[in-house]
Amino acid sequence: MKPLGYMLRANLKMSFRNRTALFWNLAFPLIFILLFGFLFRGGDISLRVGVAGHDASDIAGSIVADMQAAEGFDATIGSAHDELRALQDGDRNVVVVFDALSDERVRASVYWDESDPQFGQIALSAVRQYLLEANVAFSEDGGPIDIDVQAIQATGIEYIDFLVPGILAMSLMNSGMIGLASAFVTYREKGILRRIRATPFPLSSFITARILSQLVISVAQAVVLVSVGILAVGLTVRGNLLNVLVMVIIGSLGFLSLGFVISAFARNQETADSLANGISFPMLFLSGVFFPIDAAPGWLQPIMRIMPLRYLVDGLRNLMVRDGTLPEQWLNILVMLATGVVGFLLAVRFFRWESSAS
Amino acid sequence: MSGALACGRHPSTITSQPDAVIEIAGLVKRYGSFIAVDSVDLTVIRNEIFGILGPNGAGKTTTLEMVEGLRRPDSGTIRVAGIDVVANPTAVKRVIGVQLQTTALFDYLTAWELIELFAALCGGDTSRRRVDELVSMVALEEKSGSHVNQLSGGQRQRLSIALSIVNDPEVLFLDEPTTGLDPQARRNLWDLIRELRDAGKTVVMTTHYMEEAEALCDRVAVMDRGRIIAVDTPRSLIQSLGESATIRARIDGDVDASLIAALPGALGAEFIGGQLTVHTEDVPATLMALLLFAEERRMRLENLASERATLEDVFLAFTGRSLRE
Repeated sequence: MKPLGYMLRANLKMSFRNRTALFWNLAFPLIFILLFGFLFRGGDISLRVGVAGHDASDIAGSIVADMQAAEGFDATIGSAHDELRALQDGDRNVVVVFDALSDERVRASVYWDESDPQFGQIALSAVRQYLLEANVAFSEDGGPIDIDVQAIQATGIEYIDFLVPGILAMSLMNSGMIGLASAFVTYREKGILRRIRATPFPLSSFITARILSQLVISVAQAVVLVSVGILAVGLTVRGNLLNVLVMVIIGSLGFLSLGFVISAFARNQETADSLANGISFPMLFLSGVFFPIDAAPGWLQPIMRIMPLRYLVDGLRNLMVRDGTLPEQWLNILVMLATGVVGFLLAVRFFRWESSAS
Repeated sequence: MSGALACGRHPSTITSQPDAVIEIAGLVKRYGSFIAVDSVDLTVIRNEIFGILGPNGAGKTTTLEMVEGLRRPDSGTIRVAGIDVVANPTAVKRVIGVQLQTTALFDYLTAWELIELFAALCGGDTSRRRVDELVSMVALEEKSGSHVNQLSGGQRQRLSIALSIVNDPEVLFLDEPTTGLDPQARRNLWDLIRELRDAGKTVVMTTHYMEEAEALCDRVAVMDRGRIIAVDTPRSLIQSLGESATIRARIDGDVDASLIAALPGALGAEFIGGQLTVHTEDVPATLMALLLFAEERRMRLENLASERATLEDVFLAFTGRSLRE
């Protein structure tokens, strides 16, 4: 344990003394968050909700009255026909149409615009959440509103709440994959791996120390990004921070493993950099870091489904923006763990001590 | 990888000497059809500075790396301090110290921190007192807070030697430790290596500088094209050449060195940049013939001198080629 501890401490010292890496790991994502944060400042998104059928029954009337008073909704009352037209024209984010099923029950049909990249899904979730809460308010055991409850998103979501988990996932990918690949290729190119090999310190411990130090950096990134988000640009985290931390570590492991694969195949620093960028750049735009995945055209969806980053973005977003639980993220966790295991096996199979064959 | 199996479990091929700390027998390493190390037998005695002298590409580094457990031989046996290196390449790393030819180390760590880190990695003493002691042993007190890229070539080599002795090893392997250093830095390093021997360590080093082997090493193995062609003290090697010596002169104009190499007593000759060097086993005969040769061609021999033989001549005598070709 003692040599491992020394190696870990040395790795951390080196990481924090490397200003360039520090910039890309911390300053760069922070700039993103601050930039977007101030661009959308005060943009507490007032969702434009169209409401129809408020006069269908007394219950519908009282719900609509509450909605009009609710914060975060900019409710407009009109006929179903007019409101749906307004939705199609982009003047509404979501439309709710009430029908009376009986004196005691109403049906709420929620319409939303799938092509609205920024707010369509958010508005849908917000309205659903609102109706669900209204139901509970009416009665503990099943309220009077008939709605189809699926994924629930909290109300009052700002773009920054949506963006920060994406940026966090991006920086975990960059520091993990690019950072690790370039470090190992440099070690090999400069003969440092050979020097380590000439000591009794086993390679497995050397790699473990590197993984542990990268995880410390990942957690530091998460803490800094989320703190700055909360303090400077009004980020709201609704989920449990410990769950977020678990997802951060699982995601980092996945991308560290991809970094190892790159370092095993890349002959030199240049190849490692272009491989890492070649993998990370498309992922950045195909994983819903900046905009919801549903906004992408249908033919892109299958491609986006195979991007590991997408699952980390989804997991972090579900845990931060919604009050998601870890078991609910099983798919995202499974994909990141599988990426980690497959990558690690590949890296071990193709590992080389030296740049030249010998 | 060639198909030859390592036969490292046949101790019978090793004839044990009481003071031997390294025993190598029948060592072979091939890269495809190229034989880098060809049936090398060597014995290194405790507490000596043992040099492996040879030109670049002679197989010195490959031999060293097999002894250090960094490369697996195709065949042969290696025993270091009683440990069978081929069977147990990890165990040997605890009793040896290694300096590799490349001195690249971690950026962003100071010399002091590197020594402390390597002490931990090699299972040595990591106390502040011990690290300070190592720093002063290699005379890096003023540079202990500097990063590697702020050190001169000589300082970097001294740091590299400090890293190789963090675990207080029995045997120290130095691969071309003085290559690229200026004469002053080289002499400082020689002093350091002598101090380590005097402190009880066995030092095995490679070099392609014959004057270094002559000045520093207690015994020298001359290596060429993967083979050991002679092993002895530098003095005995030189004396084995008999009356051998070198005749030097400056000549204006051009001269065919092969004609001079054919003169009586001459072993070989070079003519590079106006400087003639003739290796001979019979100074009077060769000198007489050389003077006649010059007279016939109306050449002036300037700065004519003869010097006693060096290891350079030993190499030439054994291989027919100059060490620095």
